Order: sequence, then structure tokens, then C-alpha cells
Amino acid sequence: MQTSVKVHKKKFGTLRRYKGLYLMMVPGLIYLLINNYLPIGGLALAFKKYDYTKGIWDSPWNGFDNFKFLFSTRDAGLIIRNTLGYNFIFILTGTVFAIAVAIILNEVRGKLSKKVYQTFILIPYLISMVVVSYIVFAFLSADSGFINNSILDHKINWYMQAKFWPFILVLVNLWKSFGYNSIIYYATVIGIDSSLYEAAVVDGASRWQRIWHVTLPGLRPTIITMTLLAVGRVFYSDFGLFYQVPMNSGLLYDVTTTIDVYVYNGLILLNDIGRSAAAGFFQSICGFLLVLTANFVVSKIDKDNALF
Amino acid sequence: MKKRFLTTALCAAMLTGALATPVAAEKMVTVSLYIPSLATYSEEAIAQTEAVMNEHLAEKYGIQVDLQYIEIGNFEQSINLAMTTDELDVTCYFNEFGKLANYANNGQLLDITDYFNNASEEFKTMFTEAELSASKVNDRMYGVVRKYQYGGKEVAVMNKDIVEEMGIDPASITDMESLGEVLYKVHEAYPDMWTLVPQSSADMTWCQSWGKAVGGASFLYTDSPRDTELKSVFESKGFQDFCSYTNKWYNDGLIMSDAISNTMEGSDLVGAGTAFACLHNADIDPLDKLYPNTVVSGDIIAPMAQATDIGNLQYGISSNSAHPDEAFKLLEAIYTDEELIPTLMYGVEGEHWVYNEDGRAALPEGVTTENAPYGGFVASATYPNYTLAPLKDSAVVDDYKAALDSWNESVEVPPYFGWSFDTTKYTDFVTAYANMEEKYFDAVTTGSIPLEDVLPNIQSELESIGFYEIMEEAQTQLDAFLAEK
Repeated sequence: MQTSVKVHKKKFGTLRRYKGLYLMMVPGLIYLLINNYLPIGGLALAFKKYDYTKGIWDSPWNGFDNFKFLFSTRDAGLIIRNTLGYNFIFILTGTVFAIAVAIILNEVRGKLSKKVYQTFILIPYLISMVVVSYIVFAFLSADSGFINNSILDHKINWYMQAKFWPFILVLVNLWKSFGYNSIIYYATVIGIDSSLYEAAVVDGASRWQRIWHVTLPGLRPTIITMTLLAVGRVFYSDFGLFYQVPMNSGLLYDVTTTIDVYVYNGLILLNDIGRSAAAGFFQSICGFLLVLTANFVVSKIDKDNALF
Repeated sequence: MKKRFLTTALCAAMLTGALATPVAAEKMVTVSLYIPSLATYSEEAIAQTEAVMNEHLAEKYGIQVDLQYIEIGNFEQSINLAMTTDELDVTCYFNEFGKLANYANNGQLLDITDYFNNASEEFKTMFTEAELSASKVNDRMYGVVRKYQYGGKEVAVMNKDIVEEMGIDPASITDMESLGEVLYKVHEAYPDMWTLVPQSSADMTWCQSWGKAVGGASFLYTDSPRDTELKSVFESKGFQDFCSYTNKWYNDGLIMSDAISNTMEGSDLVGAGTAFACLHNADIDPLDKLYPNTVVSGDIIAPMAQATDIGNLQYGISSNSAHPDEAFKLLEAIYTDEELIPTLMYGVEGEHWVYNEDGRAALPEGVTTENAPYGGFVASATYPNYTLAPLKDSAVVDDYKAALDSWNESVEVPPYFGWSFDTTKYTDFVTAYANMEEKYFDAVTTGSIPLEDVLPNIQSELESIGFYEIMEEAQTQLDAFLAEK
């Protein structure tokens, strides 16, 4: 009994001591609750034939009917292949490249030049995909594009040849996202205990050895967390990247149609909220299951680095 | 003490001030009106216009209006969201590809049949039978169509300098064959210039020789709007003929290589001398007045309407409107009230527009189409009734109403107009079809690839998604409709 009272007192004491910090957490919690948790109830829409006059709760249930449209095309396999395939390549290339840049940034000694580099590599992340699509067009336009006119001696109609686009999309995604990711990794790198580097220098480790034996192990928890979070979104795709950047060219559909593009093209005529919700639900559930699986694998290999 | 007294007095003043708002205004219902904007509107200009409209509405109808202008690109998305709440009362909506049926079947639009039957004679007789039919689903009325010209003809917009320099007779261009002859001549004289560019984005033209959206279904086509045999667009003769021309022209270097990924307006390229010509839809307003440094060919396709051209823009009431009676009052007013309509369309007289000495509406001195604060004067196409607004100084006709009636009479209406195919059973198919059409349509219409090369693939895809069975069902229904007609 006494112990229980002591624990309570201790908890209350902690709460009182850090009340400022807890208060600072409240807006974030409210935001999460309103923005991330309350809408979960709306997932019921995925199983309803939504009637605008009746609202979500009074609309009739229709089982799994809303999900059928995702598989009513013979391209269903291709769409899922594109969505998953691109995402796995994006995770792989994005992670490797962002880590490399973070390590290079850490090796830059000049404070000003470091800030300049950081700013420059972050800029693409801040540019809208519509603007990016025009930048890409300026490079790839058959008639007036930079590549056809300044690099190649023959004309390639880039927007008509699907074989180039897996590479172009990976490159564009990498260019746009690596700055942001590398800053996250860089924040971890600068947080690594400097005494570890000093000890390594004393032991005669070369620069490469310090990176290999100190920096990369230090980055491991961040890499695992970032990768697990990215795995949760592998059934989603950046609509702008797959729709705007290829200028919605039909000839590229086989390599640019992802679940989001298919849903957009198909539902723009129908105003069907139930089917849109079903598509989102399908993507979330698949992503969630993948995160659980990936986390399970991680926990088997290295329990400390698993998310839960 | 003094401070406390002052504070109390101020609070009391604020409270009584709030209570002192005219009782009549408080009792009046405010009805929201959603309009897609094609030009810029400043908040101040909207507020000024709203104030003038509200004075008139309060006096004559006992209601108030809340104007909601939404950029046309985001409009549909915005009204779909707003329709889930009671924020939206009266709204414009687009009926391309039979969207009215979706709005009705989803329960988004209010059935206004009874309201309309009890409306003023002026309102009821304003619409032709065809226009009334265009706003009905299963014989129930869900909106009213915009009073505007419908349908269109197809012409070629050409660069004036080149036409004059080469002595081309624009009137001699009356079909794709004669257009081709001119394009080849120009290409020979100007080999580095784009001879033909899309009208906009990858759309070669907005006016088609094949019949489309038959029965309001996005996937039903005919050889031409005169035919009644349903087909896939890729198998229709009008479409195949068009694609064989564009493919030949594309291969011969006449059409811009980037046509499929084009982002520019054809008329801008033609006017600037970057391209020689683009195909373009036309109606009452002469295009050469609209696009500087251009001339217009003869009619390549005579005036005609597609099934959804009549009533492609309509106004209706949201099912979730909290004030449907007042919403209908406003709907009727924005079609019939001669005092209200000019304010709604052009803004406040004397502030946003003025009458010139010819009695036409003009922008005040110092205001141009670029800096006009109330965009309705610059672009009025999305308003409900164009016929009751004062003629603009730029109008090329003296009597818009007469020109509109004469144009609408000249437009050929397809025999299947008025028939609608219920696609609610086929929504999964509609989704699969839309993706399939997106994949091939622009590629073959721009001539980037020959239709005959991809047709077997297309037919196999149509087969796999069940297109032919659905088309057969639709044909049976259409034949029955035509027999009854």
C-alpha cells in the first residue's frame, strides 16, 4: 500500500516538475488526435455505398464492393508491380545516397560552405512536383529540350519511349528527396560521440575506417527507423511524380501507372468517395502489414533497433 | 474603478451594438452560391458586389447571398467536399460525360422538379425542351442549364502573316484534306516551324467529328453525331479518319514532336508565329478577334452538338442545403432578375464596370482585363444567364440573345440526345475503361503512334474489361429509345 502511494507521489512529482514540457506536448497531442486518430472512424466509408444525403453512418453497407475496382483491370498486377517496385528502389537508392551525402557533409570543415551545401541540396525538396515536371520537360522536350539539343546528336522522343522512364523517375525522385533525408542522417551523424572518433584516430584508423566502424554503426538505428517508416508507405506513390512528371503521356502508362494514378484516372468521373476510401484503406492496411513484418524481422536480428 | 467602469461600458456598448444589428437582416437566410472562376476576383470586390446584391435580394426576396468563387481547376473537388456538409446551397456543376447522373445517383443534388413546376412562368419558359431534358435524370430535374450557346464547329486558327505572305485563302480550307494541302505547302516554305500544334495540352481539338459521350456515358461513341450505332471510340470511323490524317502529318514532321506532352495553348503559339496552325472549336465569337495575329479557316466541321454539349454547365442545389426553399429563390433570381444578373456577372456598376456612350458595358478608365478587380467582366462564361447581362463593348454581335438563338438553331443535335445510359451498375468497368482510354487516346489523336498498330491491343483490353457486352446492352436500350421517339 505504502509502495503504491510512493509510486503515485513520484509520478505526480514528475508531472509537476516537467509540467512545462507536458504543456508544450498538449497542442501536438490534440493535433494528432484530431488529424490522425479521429478520421480513422471514417474508414467505414470503404465499406459503404456513400450517399451524400445520408452521410457516413447512415449510408448502406456494401461489403467489399468498393475494393473490386482496384482489381477489375487486367493491369492490376502491373499497377501493383510499379507501385511496389518503384518504392523499394526509392528506399534503397534514397537511403544509400542520403547517408553518403550526410557523411560527406560531416567531413566538410568550413562552416559557411557546409551551410551553403545544406541549403542547396534541400532546395529540390521544397519545389512543387508541377514545377519539377517543367524542369524535367526543359531537359527532355523532343524539340527544344536541353538533352536533345546540347548533348545528343540525334532526337529522342523521351515522352514516347517507356524504357527510359524507370531511370528518369528514380533519378528525379532521388534528386528531389535526398536533401531532406540526408539532413536527418546528418543530424544523427553530428550526434555521434566525438570521443569515439578521437579513440579511433588514436588507434590509427584512417578516414574510411572511421566512417565504416564509427559513423555507420552510429547511423544504424536511424537507418532502420527511416526504412521501417518508408516501408509503411510502399503501397502509396507520389502522385505528382508519376502523373505530372511524365506529363500523363499514355505511351508511358506501363511504367508510370501506380495505384494512386489508376485511382485518380478512374474516379475523377465518378465522385465516388467510397471507392477512394477503399483504395486508401487497401494501401494503408498493406503498408501496416509490411511494417509489422519488417519490424518482426528486425526484432529477430537486433531487438534493440526494432520499432516495437 | 474608473478602468473597470470603462471596460464594463465598452462591453455593454459592444453587446448592444451587436444586438442593434437590423432585426430584418438577422432573420434573413444567407444562401451560398458557388461559382467557378476563370479570372481573378479580389476579396474587396466580392464583398462590394455581395453588398449590392444583398440589398436587392433583401428587398425583393428576403434572402442574402454568400458568393463563393473557386478557381475552375479546383472547383469540382471543392464542391464535392462542400456537398458533404450544409455549407453549400446553390452551385454550378459541369455535366461533361454525364456527370449529372453521378451527382443525382450519389444523392449530391436536390431533386428540384417540384420547385421548378411551381416556379414563375418566366423561369419555366426560359428553357427549350432540349435544355430541360439536359438537366434531367430518370425524368426528374436536378438543375437548370446555363443560358449560353451550345455545340460548336471546328476551324483552323492560322498565323495571319504566313497566310498573307503565301496568299492562302482561308475559306478554301473546309476539311482535313484541304487543311493538309495547306499544311504541306507551309511546311515546305517553313521547314523549321511547327505546322500544326494541339489546341491545348495534348488535345488536338475540342470539337470532334465522331459522336461522343452518347447517353452521357464516357465510353460510348458513334461514327459521327448523326449515327446511332454505338462503338468504341477507337473503332469509330470519324475517329479513325482523324487519326490517320494526324499520324501521316506527324510522320511527315508537320505536327510538333512534343504534341503528346505539350503544355502550351495552340492559339498562343500560332499568334506568336511559333506555329502555323491549330485546330480549334468555334461558336458565335470570331476567334481572330480573340487571338491577335490570326485568321480563321472555313468550317472543317459544321456547327453541331455532342450529347452532353447542351447543358454542359448547369446550376443546381445541394441535397444537404439547410435552406432549399431559399436556395431555389436564389437559383430563380440568378436566371431571371435583370437587376441582379449584371451585378453578379460584372460586379458593382460604376466601380467595377460602366456603361459607355454606346450603352454597352465597359471597364472603367484605367482598369484593364489584367487588373480588373472583379473577374466576371473579363470571363463571364460560367455565369447562369448570359442573355440578361448588358452587352460588352468587345462583343461582336449587337444582340447577343438573337445571335444565341440563331446559333443554337443552326446546331445539329444528335438523334440520341435525351437518352441516358445508367452506368451505376458498371462503375468498376468505368474505372478500368477510363484508364485504358487515357493510355491510348492522346497518343493516337496527336498522331504520335498509328492507331492501326495499337488497335488489336485496345480491342483485347476492351474485351477483357467487358466493354462489348456493356455496349450491346446500351445499344438495345438506345434502339428502344429511338423506336419510341
